[in-house]
Amino acid sequence: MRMRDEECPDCGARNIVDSGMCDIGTVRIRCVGCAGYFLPSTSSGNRTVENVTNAGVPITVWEPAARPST
Amino acid sequence: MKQSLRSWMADSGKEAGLRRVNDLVNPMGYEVTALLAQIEESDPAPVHFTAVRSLDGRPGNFSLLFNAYATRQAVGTVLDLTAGSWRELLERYLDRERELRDPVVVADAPVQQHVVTGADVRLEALPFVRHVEHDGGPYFTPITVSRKPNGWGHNLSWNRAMYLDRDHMGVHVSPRQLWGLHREAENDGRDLPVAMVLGHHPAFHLASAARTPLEVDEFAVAGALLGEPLEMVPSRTFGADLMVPAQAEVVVEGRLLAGRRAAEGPFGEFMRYLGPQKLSHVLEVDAVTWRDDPVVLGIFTGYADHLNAHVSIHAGHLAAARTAVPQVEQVAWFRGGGPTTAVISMRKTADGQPMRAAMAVMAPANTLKQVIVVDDDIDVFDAQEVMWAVSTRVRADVDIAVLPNLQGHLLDPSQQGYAGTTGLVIDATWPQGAVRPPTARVPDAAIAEFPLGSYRMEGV
Ligand SMILES: Cc1cc2nc3c(=O)[nH]c(=O)nc-3n(C[C@H](O)[C@H](O)[C@H](O)COP(=O)(O)O)c2cc1C
Ligand SMILES: [Zn+2]
Repeated sequence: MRMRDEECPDCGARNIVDSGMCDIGTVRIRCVGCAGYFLPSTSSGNRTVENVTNAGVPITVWEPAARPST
Repeated sequence: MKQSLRSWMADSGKEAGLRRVNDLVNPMGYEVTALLAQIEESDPAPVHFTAVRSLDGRPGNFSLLFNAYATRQAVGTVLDLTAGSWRELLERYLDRERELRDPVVVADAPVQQHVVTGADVRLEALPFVRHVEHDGGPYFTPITVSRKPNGWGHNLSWNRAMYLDRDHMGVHVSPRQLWGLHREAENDGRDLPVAMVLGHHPAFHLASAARTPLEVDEFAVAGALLGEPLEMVPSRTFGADLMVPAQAEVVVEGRLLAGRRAAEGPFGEFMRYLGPQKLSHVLEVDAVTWRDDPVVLGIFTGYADHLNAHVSIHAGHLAAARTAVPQVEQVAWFRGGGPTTAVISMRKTADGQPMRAAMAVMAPANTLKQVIVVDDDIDVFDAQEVMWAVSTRVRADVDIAVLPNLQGHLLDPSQQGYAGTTGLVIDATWPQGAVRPPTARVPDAAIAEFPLGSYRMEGV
């Protein structure tokens, strides 16, 4: 799996991410440092969630309602 | 009853080298894996952390067992056999795996001594673990139970699972059987009912990785490895539609959602790199059940425990290679790269057999992309010897084959697309009929005739 190294704009943590996920453009990265979510620094925007996940039906990306306190 | 994690610890702990840490530890602060990393350097062994903080930071009543597979000796006790070498262990494993035993329904369900459901579910009460630097945070490495179609019984799959909120986890599922079962349900608009087993006898966990045909009940494989039928009871959420192991320590019941994915990862993987954050399946939790003094079985990911836990897959390669070419002797993996590269040794009787054996191990395993085949004078577990054969018996133009468009593994960092990679076979055997030059060595008879001990030798 091709990867990207994305820095969290909030806490500066280093995040190793599937580049396919970043290619979608609307899907946010979950930060390993602060559990917050942020968009990749750049995106080709040329792939869909369904294509990246190899799914046969429309897919919605799920995020927790609130950042965990832990 | 010997089919529980606690009975393994009580009966085989000593032989496995089991140690106990009774100080209160915080697994989310890397405290558990920091200790395991030091033990790995000095004297690898299974470790039971008896006092553990939960994800919410409180001292909880769930304890953690790691490194059940840290050494060959420990793996031997898991399978209730003694083996002097990996070679012997793999052979005995295959004997065991063949003795399928159907599961039995029982009335007594220790795993349901405590039950929380619905709005009362709080995953924060569980002892999630942070394993390695840069990983996504709170993880377990459970076994996912699901039901196969057509009355084929149960599917078991080993899946990393990351905490998302009080009743959700992100679950990494490679495109194999569980993935296929979920896809079928999803295409019909249905969630897939599952039960995540957080701790059971370590032989149960191994059964999940066995390469089992879809029509075989993997509870029967668990029975084979346990040496007795697996006891099962209806799950609290799905009743008899999804049975769960009665003697498990902790079970998380829920559904892999249709039409939903979540960012999950990174996680330290068997290839010894971080597997990246990706879009993974979402588990919505309906119930958590556990027995008194529950023990969660964790895998020390990226380290020996993790690679050795692949013993069922490794043995499966040996069986597959032999089915194609009965002259196959052994199959080995290396810690560097783990299951991506295998070495096969054989008593070759015809040219072309090495390629046939290589294809047989590659075909069923998407982890494997490179295979080296050697003659049976080479110890496949000794990388130096393997490289000696590659260096002296290979001519690249005739002995190396490149196989384009092979399905590979998502976690292989050299892979570019979703699943496509390239295969490689190196035939490092002597051509049939070739004169094999004798190795350069002093005759045994001379060594016997002139024992070093009978000479006076002094330093200068
Ligand atoms: C310790 C260990 C951890 C594993 N973790 C995962 C995982 O997170 N996701 C996965 O798809 N496979 C994982 N595997 C590979 C599994 O053997 C395999 O995917 C799964 O059990 C195959 O089951 P299935 O074909 O029924 O889906 C792991 C294997 C081992 C030994
Ligand atoms: Zn952050």
